[in-house]
Amino acid sequence: MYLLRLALQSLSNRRVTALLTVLAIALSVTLLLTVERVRSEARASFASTISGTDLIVGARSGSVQLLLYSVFRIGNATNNIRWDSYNDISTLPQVKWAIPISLGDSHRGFRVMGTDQSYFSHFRFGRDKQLSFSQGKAFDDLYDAVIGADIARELNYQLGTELVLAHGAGAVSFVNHADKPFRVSGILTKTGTPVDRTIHISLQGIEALHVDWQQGMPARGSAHVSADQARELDLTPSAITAMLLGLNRRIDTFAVQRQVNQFTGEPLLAIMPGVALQELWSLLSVAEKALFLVSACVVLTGLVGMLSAILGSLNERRREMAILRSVGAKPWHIFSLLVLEAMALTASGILLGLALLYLGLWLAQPILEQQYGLFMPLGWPSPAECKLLAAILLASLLLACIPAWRAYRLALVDGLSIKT
Amino acid sequence: MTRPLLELNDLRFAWPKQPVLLDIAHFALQPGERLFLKGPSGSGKTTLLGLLGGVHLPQQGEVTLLGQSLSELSARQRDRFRAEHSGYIFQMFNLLPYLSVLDNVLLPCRFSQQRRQRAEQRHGSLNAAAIHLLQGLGLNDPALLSRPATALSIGQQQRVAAARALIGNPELVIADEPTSALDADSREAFIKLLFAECAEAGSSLLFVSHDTALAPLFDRSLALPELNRAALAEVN
Repeated sequence: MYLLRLALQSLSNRRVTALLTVLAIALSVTLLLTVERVRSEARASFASTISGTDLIVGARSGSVQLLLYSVFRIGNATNNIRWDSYNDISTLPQVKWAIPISLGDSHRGFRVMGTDQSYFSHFRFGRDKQLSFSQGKAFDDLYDAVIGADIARELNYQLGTELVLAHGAGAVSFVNHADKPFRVSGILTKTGTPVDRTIHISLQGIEALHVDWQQGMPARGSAHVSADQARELDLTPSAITAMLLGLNRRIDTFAVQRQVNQFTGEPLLAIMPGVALQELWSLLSVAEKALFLVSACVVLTGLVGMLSAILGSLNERRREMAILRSVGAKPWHIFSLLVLEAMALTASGILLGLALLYLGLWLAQPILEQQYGLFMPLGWPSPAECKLLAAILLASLLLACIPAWRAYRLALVDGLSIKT
Repeated sequence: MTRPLLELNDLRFAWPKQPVLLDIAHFALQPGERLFLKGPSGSGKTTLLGLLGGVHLPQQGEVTLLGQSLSELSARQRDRFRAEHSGYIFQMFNLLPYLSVLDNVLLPCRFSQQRRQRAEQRHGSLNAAAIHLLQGLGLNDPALLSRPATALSIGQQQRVAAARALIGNPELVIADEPTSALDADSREAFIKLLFAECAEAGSSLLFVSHDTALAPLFDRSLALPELNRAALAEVN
């Protein structure tokens, strides 16, 4: 105990070097923990976005691409599914429920998704959680919209607010569906998934928006169909973007997947969300590993900085060691003193690093959530993070043995003689 | 005749791959004795002190402190033995700069159980023991205790070092040129204070210096080069 006090007092005597060393370690620890936390939170948040869905069906493309646009609202579909294909697949005997999804429009940067009532009854996220309404109810009228929690909060929309949808998925659109405004009929409870940032309308609503469109442009003059005229038309959609399937028995998953993939009407693709997610991780893992490696190297740099600071101080501290030896300190005490010093520096670095991490998270939390839909909770360090921190302490313990061993040797050779 | 406190017999020591540096037939220090050992620089003085402290071991012969041959002890035991029975005062910069005056004085009690117990028994508490010693050495200002060691003048620092060497009443105090950084007047004053405190603590004093002007103050004086047959051989 007394040795620790001596180590701390000796450090405080060299406080500028000590503080800089602690700062270097702290910054490197913050970097490492940030990388680790973004990685694990992104995984957790991705994995909790969809549950209970056995298959996702879309036009034939890559499985990761299908997963990204159908569940995460990232990227766009290359092709659509015909409505009769949807009918064929959703009525297969193994299929318990099917949710149609139609994408392509947006409102002030938020994606609009056309679907039907089955979405609110069958869609699951997190650990088998169902969507629920904080206010209002599901869409009923043709021009009703159900908005996610983030949209309501960020745009300050309430029940009854009118919104004009825009064609295309960008934040800035040149073509608006201004003639057919929608009205907020319900606001969903926060889910921490892309649902919070989605505007849900009926498939018929999507159809009504585009009923008079020709060749990707709104009709002009007499061909124009007004909002009320559209109500009189047959608004059965001709195509959707994707569908989510729930099966009666999970064991049928492969059979249905094969059936969809060999569908004769048009080229389709069925994926299992978990498998596609794994594929996505393996794609990202190279980048993840590289990032982790770089930040681990930065930590090592911090520790080597500490090592050189301690080694550099040894020569001018030979007098200190000789004095300690003369009052009865054993060479082993000298060794421990230097190890304790390194541990104190590293431990302070880790604590400061954690403080910086939480400060950074606290500051970045709203931005991350708004820009990337990534919710980063200010939770206690996870077991994985604790392991990392323990590894850093262990590394510093091992590195500290170098100057400690040197001091031990010096203490043996110098004995009680004071070198100036 | 009483048993000597410290005794050297047929001692030979050489650093690795170097000629014999010390070759001493016999040397003894009696309990309570104050001995002046004249040692010019390069005479093997520092090595001798290392041998007396048990930091180094002679290749031949032995060092006996309080009847205990140091060669018979392990390195660990020698470190402990040194801390319990001897106090050191060095030339200058004796103190740890990051500790207060009080903590510097109490340093030996942190590493030696026996000296802590002796100091506590005699003065009631460690702090009382330190204050008593510092007062005896002319450092009366209580505000001095909590000051960092570096805030003191060289003379004051040497007196703090003396207090540290004496705390817990070690049987032997070894002083290695403790006065060389002091002016002539303070030198004698320092030595007189040191004598008084050694007498009170019942410690023998081995005072090594090249300044022969101080020799008459001591009970006995010896010159290391005359004691050391290796040096004589070299001269001849």
